[in-house]
Amino acid sequence: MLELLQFGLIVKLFFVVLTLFYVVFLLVVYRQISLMTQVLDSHLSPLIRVVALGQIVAAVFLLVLALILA
Amino acid sequence: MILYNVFVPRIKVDHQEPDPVSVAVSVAVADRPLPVPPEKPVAEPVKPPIDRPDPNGTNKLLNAKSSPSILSAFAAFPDAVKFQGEDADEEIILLMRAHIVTNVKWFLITLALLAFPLILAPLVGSLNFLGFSGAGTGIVALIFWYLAIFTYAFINFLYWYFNVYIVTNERVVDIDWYSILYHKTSSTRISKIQDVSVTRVGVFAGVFDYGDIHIQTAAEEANFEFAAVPHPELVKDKLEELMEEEEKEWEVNPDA
Repeated sequence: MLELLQFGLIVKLFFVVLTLFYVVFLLVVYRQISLMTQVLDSHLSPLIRVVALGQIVAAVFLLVLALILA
Repeated sequence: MILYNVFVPRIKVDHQEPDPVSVAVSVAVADRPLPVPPEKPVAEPVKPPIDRPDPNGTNKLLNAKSSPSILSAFAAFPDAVKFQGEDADEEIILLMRAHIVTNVKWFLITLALLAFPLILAPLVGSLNFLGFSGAGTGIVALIFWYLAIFTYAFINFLYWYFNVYIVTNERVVDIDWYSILYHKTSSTRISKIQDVSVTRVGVFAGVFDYGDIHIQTAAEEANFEFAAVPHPELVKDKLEELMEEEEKEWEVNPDA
């Protein structure tokens, strides 16, 4: 029983850390996208930034979910 | 005066008192504000077509091959695009990306990754065999998986979208986004270009009409390479035409 609990905890920790790294990675991507949209500006630039921001929001939601569910 | 009296007939007009009802109506009508016609929507001023000299007909060919979409890999004279460092009097002649076919690889990988959980599902189910209830973990893992795939596809799209080659009436600009942490923008003036050559490798390049363009510049500047751009021969012709124009300008005014 204790082994199972530990296994579950390890899995949870794994997903929490993984999602945390994912959020950080997406923040870096967003920063780069902001820079690149300055380098090349077009009608599509706002949409690209919104999609990148949406990913960050989704990843934060996933992090919360990993803390609660996993 | 006498003649006037003779030839012009005299008309007798009887004096009549004005009818009070018609006076009242005319006053009421006069006081009422005139109906204002609805304002016609003001049409945006239409930009007059820019008169570009096209002695060799290359502009016409470029326009014929070009697509107006911002997601196009080959756009001639795009007016909705600006790049960093663009001069006020500079006009973008060509905006190019790698041919759309070059995206097939990551697109297929994305499709395969999307189907992967269907294969993996029995293995995840086997976790229950160990006595570990992985319902919550499974949901988190699945959401993570699909988010990660979306990110993978999105970043690959961005690599394609932001790796741009621009030819203006003044220079050639190469915008590269190599990785998440590294991007580079380089440019050279048309007058510095010494030679332009085209390389086509593979069956796909021939079928879909794309290839690499090598631009050799003066010794102190780096050479340029436009990788897998559509219609490379046409681009080469245009670059050579611009080089000739620059040469003529230099002959007329060497100080410019």
